[in-house]
Amino acid sequence: MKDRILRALEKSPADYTEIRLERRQWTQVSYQNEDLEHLESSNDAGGMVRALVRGGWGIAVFNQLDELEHYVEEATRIATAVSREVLEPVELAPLPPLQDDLPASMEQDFRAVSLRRKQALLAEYNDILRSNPGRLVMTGARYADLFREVTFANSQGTYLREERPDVTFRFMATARCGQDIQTAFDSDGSSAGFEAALSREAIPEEVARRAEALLEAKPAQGGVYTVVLDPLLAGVFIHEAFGHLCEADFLSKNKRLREVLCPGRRFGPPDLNVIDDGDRPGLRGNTRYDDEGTPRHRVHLIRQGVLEGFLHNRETAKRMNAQPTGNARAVSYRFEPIVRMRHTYIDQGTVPFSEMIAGIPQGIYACSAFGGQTELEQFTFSAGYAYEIKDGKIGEMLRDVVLTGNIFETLTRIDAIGNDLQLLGSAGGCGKGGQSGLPVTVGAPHIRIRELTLGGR
Amino acid sequence: MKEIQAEEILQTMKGQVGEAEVFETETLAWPVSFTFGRLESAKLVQTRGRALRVIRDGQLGFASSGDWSNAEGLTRAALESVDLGGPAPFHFPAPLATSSVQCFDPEVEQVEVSQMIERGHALIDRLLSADPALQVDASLQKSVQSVHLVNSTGLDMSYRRTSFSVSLEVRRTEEGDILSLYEQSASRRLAEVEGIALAERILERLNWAKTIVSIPSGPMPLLCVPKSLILLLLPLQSGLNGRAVFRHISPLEGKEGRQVLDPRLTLVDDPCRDYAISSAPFDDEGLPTSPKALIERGQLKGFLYDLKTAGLAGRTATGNGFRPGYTAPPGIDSGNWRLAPGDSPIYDVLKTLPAVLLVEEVIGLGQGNVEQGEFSNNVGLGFLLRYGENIGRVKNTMISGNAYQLLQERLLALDDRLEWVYGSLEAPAVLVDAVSVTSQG
Repeated sequence: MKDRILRALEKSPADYTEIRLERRQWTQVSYQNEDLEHLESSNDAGGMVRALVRGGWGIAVFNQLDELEHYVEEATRIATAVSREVLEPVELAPLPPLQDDLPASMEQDFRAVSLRRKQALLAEYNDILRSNPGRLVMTGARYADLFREVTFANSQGTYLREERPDVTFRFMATARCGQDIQTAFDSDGSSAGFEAALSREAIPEEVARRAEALLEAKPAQGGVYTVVLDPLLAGVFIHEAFGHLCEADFLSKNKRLREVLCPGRRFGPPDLNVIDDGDRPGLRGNTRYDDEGTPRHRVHLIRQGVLEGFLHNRETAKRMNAQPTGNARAVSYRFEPIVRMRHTYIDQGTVPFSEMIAGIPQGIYACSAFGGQTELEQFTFSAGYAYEIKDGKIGEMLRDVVLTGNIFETLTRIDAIGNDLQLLGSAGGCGKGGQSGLPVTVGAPHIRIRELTLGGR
Repeated sequence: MKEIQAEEILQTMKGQVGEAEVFETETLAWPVSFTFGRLESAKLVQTRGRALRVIRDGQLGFASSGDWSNAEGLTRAALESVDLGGPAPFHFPAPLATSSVQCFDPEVEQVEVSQMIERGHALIDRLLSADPALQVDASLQKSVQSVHLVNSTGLDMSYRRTSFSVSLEVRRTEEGDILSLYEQSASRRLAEVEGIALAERILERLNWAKTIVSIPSGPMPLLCVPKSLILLLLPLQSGLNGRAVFRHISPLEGKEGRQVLDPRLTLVDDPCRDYAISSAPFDDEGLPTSPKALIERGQLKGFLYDLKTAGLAGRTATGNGFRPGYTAPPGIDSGNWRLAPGDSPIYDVLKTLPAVLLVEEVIGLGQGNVEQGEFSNNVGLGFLLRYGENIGRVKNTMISGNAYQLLQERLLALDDRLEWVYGSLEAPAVLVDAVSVTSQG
């Protein structure tokens, strides 16, 4: 295969050509209530050729690997047609040629585990989820694994092969009392083998318990509070409300945002560090190289409270006179690499959780993210569940906690950063530009924010 | 790498399972997209894949693959899944005469990417010449697809289909107001796809939207044009689906032969209309397609079924087993829908009404309890009509109601003119009464 790839690249008349091939193998098992809902074991293989001709991209996507040269020709032909219309010719930041071969690191290769074994494991978890039915009206459990083998080569001499395993599971429970319906869920994921799916009994147990407990929880009162976010909610918050703004492809299209996001400007307290990490083995979405063949660099978005860097691919790096950071990612061979996050988190601070809540006369402890929406600097997030904080102590459970505000104002009001950093790979993944479900990891320690607005629902 | 033919896979499966079926598609698509008025990318997307379904001892197995050299992996995955699979209360069908419907247009096949780029530019230029501040996103796509289906009962069928689509999304941003408009046209035949008319319609709406009027909260007649009629048809799409009936979540369950909607309403599922997007000579399980009245003068005539659900429910499959791609098993899907027109112009009724909310686009479609007919949506683009005349655009307005109730008890009028939208729906404008409107000014 390597010979074919190199030959196809050599023959290409384009200014720059890259070939990315991928073999995908996956299984999925899901339960709805006590019924096996879906069981699947599938594989797929395909590739993408991108050709750059006089600053215009031409792209060919295919799943017939034996006609590589034909698709290089097609991509070049399209690029030539595009180049006649291009107003701002694309240029790529330079990158030295690289050669590497990275096999997956898995204790127990999930490709060698039978579908029956995976089904049996999920059935056990499903039984735990449903073991105390109480007022549960619906439950869901899902296991999924995906093994990707990605080969990347370009006309500048880079040739990389990398294996990328991904294992996720998700549990959901809905409880009902009269007209009141409450849902709880939790998920986890890793770039690892089948071992990552074992011994997870605590999660389905907690999900079922929480759905039931939410029926008894009080709806939160709207208002302005001191709020403590748990590591998951803080992590999702920093990813959604801040991380996406730092993606250079988005930034370069938005003039107003460029004026606000000036490197060197202070955005938060001196102990606030926000990092998008490249290569941390085992974390969901981890790889050594991105989908343009750039080694993944660790990027400080915020260092000691001050804005430092952005996330780049080769194209945005060239345009903004920066280094490519290894953030060009594609969910599969069917999509072109675009600027995406990897492992995005607020770094470790020093404040223990007990100390963080100790001084709060009345506040909210908000946990787990139920979903959210951001529109430039405005954000709205729902917590999965919450507790009231009274006189420095955790009180009753609350629900319908919706946090809203302006991201820049909110960052300046962070006044405590915990010493309990957690990195979490949720099953859902990130969505952008029609590419959803990209594996990412989010994280943070507990953080405390003053004067955060809680919307009434 | 040797390619394995579908027939060879069937041969291999003989003796290992009772029945087998191979579904294959190959698609070539050329999407061209423009953002902020500029060409963003042009692509060729080739996809070839196959799915294998097997039945053994009354159980169903499924697997799919895009790798045609690895037939062994596919058969092994299907056998593994049949061991654990759910019930298969049906047999793969024997060959039947397919319906004659046109799905292929050589003109689509011949369009060049450079011509698509030119078409895109012409649309953008037309819009920007009227207002250079508009933010215009456009996408054009042509595709050519072949479908091949074989099964162990002797069925072996194939056909080719084309499609062409153009869509435009235009945003106008002014201080404190973002207006977004969307138009789309699609067909299997190039000559039926609208071009500059899409841009003209957007400009006309922008013109109408210049005046912003306030609208009182409370019940009000609602006029859905065919483009926004999906608001009322979405619950029917769910309720007429045999799977919803089988799972007891369709409010139409057990009401066949009864009056469920206003007697002026007749709805036909028609997958046999020439060049329509949801047309096919046979469904993705090999059953011939046919036009079927689902609602006739308000009476419920029947539901849509694929083989599996029909088997589970003790019904007959209607040729509505379609697959979203080769990677998923068939499920129930409707063909093109046709809602019969009224017999006089709707304006005759509109001109007697002091206030009507005309809705062209809604936001958040499909949220809420769709199965039960409930909707609650923001009006994306809406106008207030006074005695049939458009007096301006309404903003920050929610509409809510129940589609079943509106179409049964509160139908005011159907237009006598039909419009063909999204390449798959033919319908008149529909006026219903007393929809709950909540406005913030």
